[in-house]
Amino acid sequence: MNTSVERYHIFATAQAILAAMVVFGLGLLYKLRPDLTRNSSAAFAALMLAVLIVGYYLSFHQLLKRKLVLVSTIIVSVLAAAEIWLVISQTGGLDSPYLAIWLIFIAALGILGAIWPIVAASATVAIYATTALVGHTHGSTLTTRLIQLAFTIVAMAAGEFIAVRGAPGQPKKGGASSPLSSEQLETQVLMASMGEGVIVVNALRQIQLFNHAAQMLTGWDAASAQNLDYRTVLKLKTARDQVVDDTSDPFMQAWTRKATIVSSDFVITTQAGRRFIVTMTTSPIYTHDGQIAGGITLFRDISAEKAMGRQRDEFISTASHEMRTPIAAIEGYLSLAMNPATATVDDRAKSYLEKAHDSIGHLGELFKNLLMITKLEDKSLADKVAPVNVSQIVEKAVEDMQTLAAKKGLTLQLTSGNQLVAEANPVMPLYQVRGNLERLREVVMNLIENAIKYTPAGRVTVNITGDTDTVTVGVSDSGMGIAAEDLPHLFQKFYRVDNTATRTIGGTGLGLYICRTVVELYGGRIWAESRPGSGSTFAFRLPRLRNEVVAAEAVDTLATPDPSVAPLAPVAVPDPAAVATPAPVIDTTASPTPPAAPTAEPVPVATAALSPLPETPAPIAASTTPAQPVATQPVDAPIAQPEDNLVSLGSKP
Amino acid sequence: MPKLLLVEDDINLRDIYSARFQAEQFQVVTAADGEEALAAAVREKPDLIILDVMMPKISGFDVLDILRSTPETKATKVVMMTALDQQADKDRGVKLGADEYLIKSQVTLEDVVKTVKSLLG
Repeated sequence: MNTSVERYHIFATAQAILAAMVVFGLGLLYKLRPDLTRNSSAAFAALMLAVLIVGYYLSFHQLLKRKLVLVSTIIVSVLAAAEIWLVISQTGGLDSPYLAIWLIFIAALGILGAIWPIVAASATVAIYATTALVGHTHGSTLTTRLIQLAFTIVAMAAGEFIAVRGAPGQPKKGGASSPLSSEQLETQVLMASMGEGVIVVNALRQIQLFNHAAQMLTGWDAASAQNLDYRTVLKLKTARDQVVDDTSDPFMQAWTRKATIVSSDFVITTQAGRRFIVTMTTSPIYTHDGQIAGGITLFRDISAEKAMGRQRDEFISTASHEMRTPIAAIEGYLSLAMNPATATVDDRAKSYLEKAHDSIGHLGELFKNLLMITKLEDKSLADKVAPVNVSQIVEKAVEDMQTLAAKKGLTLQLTSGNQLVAEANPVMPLYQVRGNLERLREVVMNLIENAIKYTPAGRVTVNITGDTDTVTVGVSDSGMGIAAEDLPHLFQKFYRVDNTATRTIGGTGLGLYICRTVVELYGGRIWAESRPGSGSTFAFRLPRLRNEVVAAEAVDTLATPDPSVAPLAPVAVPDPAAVATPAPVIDTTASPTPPAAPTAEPVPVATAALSPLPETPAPIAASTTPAQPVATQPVDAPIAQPEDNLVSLGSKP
Repeated sequence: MPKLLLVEDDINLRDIYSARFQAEQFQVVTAADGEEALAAAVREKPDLIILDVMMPKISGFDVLDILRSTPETKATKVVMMTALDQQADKDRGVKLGADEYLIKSQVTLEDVVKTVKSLLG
């Protein structure tokens, strides 16, 4: 049961017992000493009032005590005040023995925390005593009267003092704030022992409980903070140094959403003026009938963690800068050494230099990917997300990759819903998703780059398609295909398909893992499907954003996705000297049977079966012809399996 | 013979680019920080400046800003070369008036040569 209801109940009960005593006392007085009753009608009124109080106690009080404590308290207080007045005046005025009883009663009310009844009763006694003093109605001396008045004031003060000090959980006012129950406060012991700051507030956001850790963190002591608005105590500000208003207030949020709110970027200022960042976990507290009674918040100083995160971030960017510099120098000197215009070396030295150049390129790539993974795996360093136009990313990526594809004699084409996107048919629906432009661009680039890398001849098709809820981007190649046993592992860290072909093609084993991490970060999934010998498809699907959502956010990333000029392939392109001989990476692979001149003969589109992709990826439509040059290559022969190999990885959207 | 001002704080990269551009018949002047770069830009009047961003004293962005507001160097072609690969940095460079913005980890020496040559026609 509610604490103040309990207190009120005790108060009303005491009042009713006193009233019953009055009834009994007055009755006795009439019978034994009729001479003492100076005014019979007033005595009768007092008697009636006493009956009324008892009657009220037995009837309405029982009904009102739960819901309308304040109203009932006022009614009982007024009745009691009137009773006091009448009884005192009837039983000898200021000489009445009842006066002393009332004074004791007033002081005792303090234990019950009943401030208003104390005020009412004290005022009554005080007013009575004052009027009696002025009127000099009786024979007592002035001194006696003054002492009586002083006693009244002392009794009142004592009652008030006890009420205030002895009832800490009692809110001063009722009204909007439904007070907290004793059970809720009993956890105080538990909370005192907690390392996190705990603050319990009532519905007016006044502090009801302020645990030891909260005192340590804020520099306030519990007694001073008691009943103050928590905002005054915490001086809560947002990370951007704005004062927390009702829209960002954690309690308001917890109450409106009726849920636990975790806010991690608030700044608290201690009483000494020190500021620190906190994470706050705020939950609403309800009364037994589901009304909001208040809230509880747990907070913790996370300044140190934040600082560590910042240091880590700084370390990563410094490391990437510092370590790229020597790699760039090695790469540069090797380029100079290999370039006939800047150096003279014999053919053997040149072949060694080329190998060194490839290795350093690999090292640079590996390093870049490792940094990227560190960044992706640390959620606190996550890039900003905004609505991004996937169509545009794909279009740009295909454009940027044309150079690399052309170098290998591959055809790289873009299709939208399996319709070729070309100058003649440039229409592509607006596919927007929530993510980071750079990261998604890297995913698309990576998939295209892989396709080009592992396709000795033929074509690479990038297809974008979607429905109302999803966007799917697929990159299909007419390459060597992937064996069934490798498919489930493709997206694992450092997994490399081990065969003659891949051993000679450089790669870090991190690219697809990064792709998967990024796609999953934005709520999508990525998968691969393949039939050895006739190509593979790598695809990812992301939740599509409705255009209204995007329009509402009006994010400028879309307006100016890439204001830069001439796009350079973000791939280490071997320098002309190296390219003059067939690209070394492909060289060895292709040696058993030289790849057929791919652009010269019309190679059928190997894929184009990506749209619409079912929930479980369907096998690639077998639109490949058996005469495909890739199939004749004895590259990854040992693991070729006739049936389609499918695999789907990644979290379900 | 086109004149190139190479602003780069790393001595190795300065060496490499100098050698490579000299092989392309460029006259190469170098500067190791922002201050030197500004002085050299006014003194040497290069046809093109290759400008690093993260440098001691004055950053590449600030150098570019000053170059663009100085009458003598207002029209000089500038290629920014940096390790900063964020789109925001690129946007900043382009906004300040860089003719080209290259990210070090994404381009090779030959790409830089190609870019410079195409900018100078």
